[in-house]
Amino acid sequence: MAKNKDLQPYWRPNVRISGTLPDIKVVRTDFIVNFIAFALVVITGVFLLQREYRTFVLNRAIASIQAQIAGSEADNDANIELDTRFRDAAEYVIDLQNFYRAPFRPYEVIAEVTRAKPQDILITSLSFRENVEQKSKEMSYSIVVGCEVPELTILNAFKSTLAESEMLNPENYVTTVVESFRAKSEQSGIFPCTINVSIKPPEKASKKKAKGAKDDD
Amino acid sequence: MEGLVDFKGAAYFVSRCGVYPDNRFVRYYETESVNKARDAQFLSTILESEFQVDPALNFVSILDARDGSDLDFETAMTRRIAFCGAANEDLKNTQDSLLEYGLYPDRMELSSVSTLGGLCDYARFNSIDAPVLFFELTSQAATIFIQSKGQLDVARPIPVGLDSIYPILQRELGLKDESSARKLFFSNTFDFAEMGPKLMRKVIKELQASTGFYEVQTGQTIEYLFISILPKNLSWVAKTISEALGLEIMQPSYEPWMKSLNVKVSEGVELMNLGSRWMGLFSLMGEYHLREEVANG
Repeated sequence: MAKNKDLQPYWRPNVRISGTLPDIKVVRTDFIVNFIAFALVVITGVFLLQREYRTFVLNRAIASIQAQIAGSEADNDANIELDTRFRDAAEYVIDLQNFYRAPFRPYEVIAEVTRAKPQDILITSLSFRENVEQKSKEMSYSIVVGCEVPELTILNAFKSTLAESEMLNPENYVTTVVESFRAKSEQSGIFPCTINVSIKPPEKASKKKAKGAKDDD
Repeated sequence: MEGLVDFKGAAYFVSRCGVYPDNRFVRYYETESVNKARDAQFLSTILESEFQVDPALNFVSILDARDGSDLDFETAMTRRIAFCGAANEDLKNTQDSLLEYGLYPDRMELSSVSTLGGLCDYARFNSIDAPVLFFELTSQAATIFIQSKGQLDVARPIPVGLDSIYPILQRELGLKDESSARKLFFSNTFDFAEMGPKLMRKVIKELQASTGFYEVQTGQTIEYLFISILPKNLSWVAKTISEALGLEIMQPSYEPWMKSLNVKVSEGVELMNLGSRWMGLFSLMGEYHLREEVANG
């Protein structure tokens, strides 16, 4: 029913030739369509041109930067090599500085230990070690004396002598002497024992001391 | 034209126009089956072979001859169709003429077809069961239509027109040339009633052949004659033909019919006095399909 209403009236075909009729609209709207189409074309054109220009500028910048990178590569390699050599050299310098700043020489330690040794004590081993603190880069020293004593009182005397030694208590360092001993040998009747002398910068020592005081509490 | 209507300052007066282009055609055709009527290629071939109408050069409209609706190639359920149209060139020239007169065709319709539709609907509305002979006589051509109960049964051109009458008139009255005969023919000064059968002999012969064949073929008797386009001073033509064929001249009563189509006229218009010539104009206003939908609905 509704469909029929869209059809031509019965017996009345329209033979009008629409294509050749003039435009009689009171307000002509054809130009609006043309205007909109033209505006769309212009906007699209401007957008595409802008994008192309940006692409062109970016490509040019990329090429320029790549050329700079290529030009600087040789200089950069040379700088890296120089830096590596400098770092290696600096390590040696630090080692040398540490060596010359040490409060005593290894041979002086041997002489001092030998001097402090009571007569009835037998030194079986002597080691001297230098350590570089990781954080502060300061030096600390460790002396380990292996010995045998017939009486523990001799060991205490040796320990006290070492603890009071002027050379082993350098300025700006804190010295700690700790002795240890094992069971008396039945065969020989002597005590195998060890004395550790630790010489460290004061900060570390004070911290350790503080920690020891806390443990005592 | 500006003397007749108010253009209101516009360049054109938008109008619904009925036209009679020279090469217009209306042809009736009955296919063997419904499927054939749905075959556009077949119908195109028929148009060329049977009616010598080239679809490429002519505007062609195909209608269902039963009610005048546009033929739908997918859903059509009819075998009876009517081809109508005109040469593209003629339509273009006619349309250009309208524009020159200041008329802008909102619709441009073939008056032959719209008048035929008006007559069919009029017959259906008034329950005129007997077939009606509709004769369209113009200068160069004439077409015979027969409608029965609102359906087209015959649409056939005959190769005579008013122009073919002038030589006979010239000879009968001893006039000096055909233009004098033509002038006399359209004047109101001469009574052609007596001479009518002689002048119309060729036309009547064609009409008798067509109506006789139709009556034999269908078993129906044509009772009415309807002539649309001729002016009042040529009323003798209808009288001559009706007497020759023994038909009653149809005098349409427009008022109830137009009322049924919801067409209203100004108070000053006396529809009672308007003859068959006005059927063409009123037909341009008929929306028959809407009334049928209401009736069917």
